[in-house]
Amino acid sequence: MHSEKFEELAALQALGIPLGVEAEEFAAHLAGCGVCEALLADFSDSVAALSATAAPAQPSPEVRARILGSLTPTPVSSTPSSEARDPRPQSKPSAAMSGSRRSVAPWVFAAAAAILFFVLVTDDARLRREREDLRSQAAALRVQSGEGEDFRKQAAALREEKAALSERLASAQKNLARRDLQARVLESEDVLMLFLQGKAPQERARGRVFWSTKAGRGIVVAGNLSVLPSGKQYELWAFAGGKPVPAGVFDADTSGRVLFESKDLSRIGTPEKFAVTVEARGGVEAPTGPIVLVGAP
Amino acid sequence: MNSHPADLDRALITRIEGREADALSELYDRHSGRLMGLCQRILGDTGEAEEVLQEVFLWVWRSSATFDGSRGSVLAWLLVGTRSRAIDRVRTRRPAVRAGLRTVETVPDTPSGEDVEADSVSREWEGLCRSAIAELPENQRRALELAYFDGLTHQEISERTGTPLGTVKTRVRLGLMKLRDLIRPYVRRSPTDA
Repeated sequence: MHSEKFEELAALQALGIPLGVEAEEFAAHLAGCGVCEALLADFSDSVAALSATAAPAQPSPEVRARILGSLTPTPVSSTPSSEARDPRPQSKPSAAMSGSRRSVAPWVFAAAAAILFFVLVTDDARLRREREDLRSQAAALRVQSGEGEDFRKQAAALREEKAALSERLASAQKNLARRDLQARVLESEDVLMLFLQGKAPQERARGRVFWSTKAGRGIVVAGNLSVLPSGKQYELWAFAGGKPVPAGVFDADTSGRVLFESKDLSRIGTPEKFAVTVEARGGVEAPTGPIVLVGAP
Repeated sequence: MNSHPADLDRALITRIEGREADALSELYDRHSGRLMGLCQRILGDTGEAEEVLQEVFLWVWRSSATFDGSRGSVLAWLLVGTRSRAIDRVRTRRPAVRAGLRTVETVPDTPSGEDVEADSVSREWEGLCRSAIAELPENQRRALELAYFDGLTHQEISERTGTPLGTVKTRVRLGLMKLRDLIRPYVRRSPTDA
């Protein structure tokens, strides 16, 4: 539920101010509130604007010489280091990812999923109608405008608007598919949610696992992951009896985000913890690569 | 050809990833003035500001692959990296040293006029940002500057200004919202915002 309180927390986070005890609450809220997610991105732009009031200054020439003199052909880091932190909205409050495990009332998720589904379907239909209306208007304008420059401009504006609406439609459809996927697990009556914490060198990576033992499957939602070389993939591990069981491989998109469904894992029972490692593409039977995400009760 | 400044910056980052020192040199020439200004504004000390500037460009050299163009421009990335390092320094200072820092009111709000702007787009952006900030109510602007340039938490701003904590939070929120509304048209037009 969006509120001024979360707007205030978004503002503080954009400014890099630690949120303290409210960090976890905000992280949980942010995960499900597109309004606050967009607001955080906007606030980050606003924060960057503040730098404009600092008067530019010229460093001494020695600084340039020192920098260029100390360059070494070190391997390029392909993953974010602690130095490479970027407090833009890609980050979620770290305290929220402390590995806490909680039972979530299934009816809450079921209701939320149903509402989301309804909203997205409604939005989808509305966008389709708007697009058709615009198409009709554009066609009518083409007939009426003839050679008129004004009409051509209007048609161009409508085309732009249509493109924007199409983009929104595609986005809504994508969201719908994503929510539908989540709903299949979230509606399970025994669903658990577990936060995943990033490990070096991907400290900024964050994720959540929604797990249903009865359904024998789960959903991984993660962000801030590095895009791996073509020969590598992320692999999810569910630990049962102290042993890791492979639970599927996945890739991060170009924004470092992941939505992955782990299926047919009824043999695992109730997992003790989850981890994500970097492995050879296709996955391995036992983890060999570095752990990038981990979460335990 | 990459003629737009933002495109040029991204091309430089790509070349830096390819270990081209000339590209880092060019990136330094394009942005060191602005980043140095930010460091000085936060630290109030030229020597420390230059140290942070050096750290930033060495970080760029090592970690250029971590830049993600979908999350903002190269300049925004540099500003975030610079500010966070400078604020870290401020926070590790002894209280007495911190107390001796000049306040934001003593720092000029306008550029020096030196040739540190490489392009008109940057000047337009800076001008727009300064105008937007100037439109903020004084108490909102001050709360934002104390957080951004002095690295103060909302509790510290409350103590520094003698303002209730809730009021500080509200001022920060309203200030950023107004800034957002004022710069949004430009941000949307910017090719770096793609």
